[in-house]
Amino acid sequence: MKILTVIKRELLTRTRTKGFVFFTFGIPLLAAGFLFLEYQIVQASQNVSSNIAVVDLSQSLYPELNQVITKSTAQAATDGGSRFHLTQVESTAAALPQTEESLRQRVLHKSLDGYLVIPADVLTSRTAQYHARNAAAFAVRADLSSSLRQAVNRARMLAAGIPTAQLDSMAGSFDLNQLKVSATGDSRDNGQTAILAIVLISALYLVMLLYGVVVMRAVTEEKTTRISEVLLSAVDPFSLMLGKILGVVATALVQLAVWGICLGLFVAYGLTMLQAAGINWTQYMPHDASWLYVCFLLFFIAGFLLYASIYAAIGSVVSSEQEAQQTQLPLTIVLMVGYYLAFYVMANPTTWLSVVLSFVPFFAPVLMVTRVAVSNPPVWQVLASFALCLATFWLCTKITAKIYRVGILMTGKRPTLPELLRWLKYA
Amino acid sequence: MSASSSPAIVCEAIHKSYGDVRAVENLSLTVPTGAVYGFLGPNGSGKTTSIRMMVAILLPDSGQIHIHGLPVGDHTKDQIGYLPEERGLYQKMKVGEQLEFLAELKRVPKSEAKGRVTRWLERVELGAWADKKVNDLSKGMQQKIQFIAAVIADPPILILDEFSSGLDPVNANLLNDILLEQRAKGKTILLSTHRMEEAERLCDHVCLINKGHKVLDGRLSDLRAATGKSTLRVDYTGDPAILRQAPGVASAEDFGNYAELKLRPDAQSPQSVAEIMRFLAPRLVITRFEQLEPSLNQIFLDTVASTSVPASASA
Repeated sequence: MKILTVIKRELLTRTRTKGFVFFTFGIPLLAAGFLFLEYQIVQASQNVSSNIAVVDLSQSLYPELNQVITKSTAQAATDGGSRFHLTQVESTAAALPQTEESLRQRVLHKSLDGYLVIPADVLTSRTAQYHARNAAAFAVRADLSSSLRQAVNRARMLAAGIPTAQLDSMAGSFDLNQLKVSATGDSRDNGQTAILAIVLISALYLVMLLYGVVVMRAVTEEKTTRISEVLLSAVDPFSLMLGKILGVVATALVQLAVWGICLGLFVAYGLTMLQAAGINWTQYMPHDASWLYVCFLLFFIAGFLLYASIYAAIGSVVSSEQEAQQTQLPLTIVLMVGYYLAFYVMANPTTWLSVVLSFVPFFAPVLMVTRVAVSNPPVWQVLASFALCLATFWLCTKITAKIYRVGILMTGKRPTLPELLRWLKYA
Repeated sequence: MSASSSPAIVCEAIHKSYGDVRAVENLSLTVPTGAVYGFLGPNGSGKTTSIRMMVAILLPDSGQIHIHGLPVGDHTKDQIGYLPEERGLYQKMKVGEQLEFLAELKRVPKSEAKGRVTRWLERVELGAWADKKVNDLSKGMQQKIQFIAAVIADPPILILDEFSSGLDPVNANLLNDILLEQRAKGKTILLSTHRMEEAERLCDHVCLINKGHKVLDGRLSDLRAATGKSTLRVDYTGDPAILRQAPGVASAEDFGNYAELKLRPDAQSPQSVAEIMRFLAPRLVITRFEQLEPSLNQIFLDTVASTSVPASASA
């Protein structure tokens, strides 16, 4: 089979370039490196606790503050907050200047990270002063401030006569759970699925744009190197074109598979870390998205092939790389329109416009996946749209092969549309 | 199959136009199996368009082409090795891999392709270049690689468009020898060229086309015999004006060191030629005096001149 020879050449010559190897393995390595670095930084900052001296002129707030801080420091491992170690320094309003001077010396000599001066009227003034070597340590400042606020609030409530036991029960947080009411009566939470859909269609777009251009270049390259005449004397243009498209798509799939596996490993690792930290991540995942994944895979393949064949058509019309850049603009616009339509469909998945648009082959890959993500389109609609996509790809490749056959022989100016139609007749 | 008995290539009344431009008009020709067939014509005469139809890259608007008795199409592509005038190879692919790929495209089994590539590269003295990328090669080297691409699958028919253009004499000779080997193996070879002396040296059949029309077709020896020994070659020193005054000379083409005199049809007998010699001998220093059949170049020029002046009549 000649088409297999074409696919094989495309796959082998592309996967063996330094660029391909670098991108395929370098990007996950780079990502892993960043994650590792990030993790190390977080670890390092978590293990360091700020050593702070507290001068409590109010003579009452320190116990409360220490209690709040001890609690938040204990939770720092899971919520990423700052850790503090407090020591109380006795002083009076009169002795404050000397105390401050000695503390300042200790800060300068790095035996202290900073010191806090709580004024006598802290409960009413609600201010305090924090002196530190590193005044820009934003997270430390924010956490300290929040702890102080809690401590002051507790102190004021205690002063108002509310028992300690009641205070703790009043501090609980609140979660709002969102549920979706759909026509099928099936209610599931919607936010995560929509986010998942956006992630999926964005990935689809990225792939189509990135590799579509590769297909286009591959075809233009044959024209500019003029090897096409030799090729066409050995193989029919349809097999050649289909072989090239499938070859580049196969190359892309190899690359994406490597990335996918790496991503899977990262995610699995991340989830086990979350699990280990006692966080129940399953609540953040969309419920049962397996049908969505199946649809995504189907339309990923169909959309990829379709756009690759259109990019190939552009490559066969133009005769230089610069011309290709200009000519592909309309296609990029179509792609962008589809992308923005996805947000309309996401908001209105059941309107007739959304349904119709999800059958238009150029938009279908994205819009049908979006519909599946946010509503429940009938299975026949999904399959029909998929079949339509593949049929369009086939037709596009046929037409591209014809354009290519004539286009290679005319390397002058870019043809106008009527000329293109005449080419189709010649071939 | 009747493959061996049918002529290698038969074109019957093929037409091809691009819009208003008629590239090929009513072209019929037969390339006998085993012939070295010269397909001649000036630039822009429709040679390349005709050839592209023979290798099924283009389809004729009307008319038919048969390759060994089969209608031309994708299935006849394996019978023809094609060297296009517009040379082209994948620039960033290694020489050896590229030739293996092109061989496989012509259905050479993978197991065999490698050995053939090695043998051919050594034959054209590029054995050491198999692992180099094409764009590391000189133009002449690429030309030889392109030539190998045409012959690697060992097809019964070779179509070579301007096969020696851009080659230095050493390499032109090398490819010439290979061509003669191929002819000895019974291959049919169609050579397209506008260099008449090359066709004269290699071809046994020629077909001349001009402006999309065939103007002459036949065995080279027959064409020459038909025009008779109508040419005198004279190597001389002296005043070239004298040449035209000799009796029986229709026209003279002076090349400086020698001239070709065209004889009137009634002045080609030995007596007439002797008379011309007697006329010239006292007036010029003559080192060579020879009566010849006309060169292909002369035939071509004459034919083109006689057919294209009344262009409307022949159309």
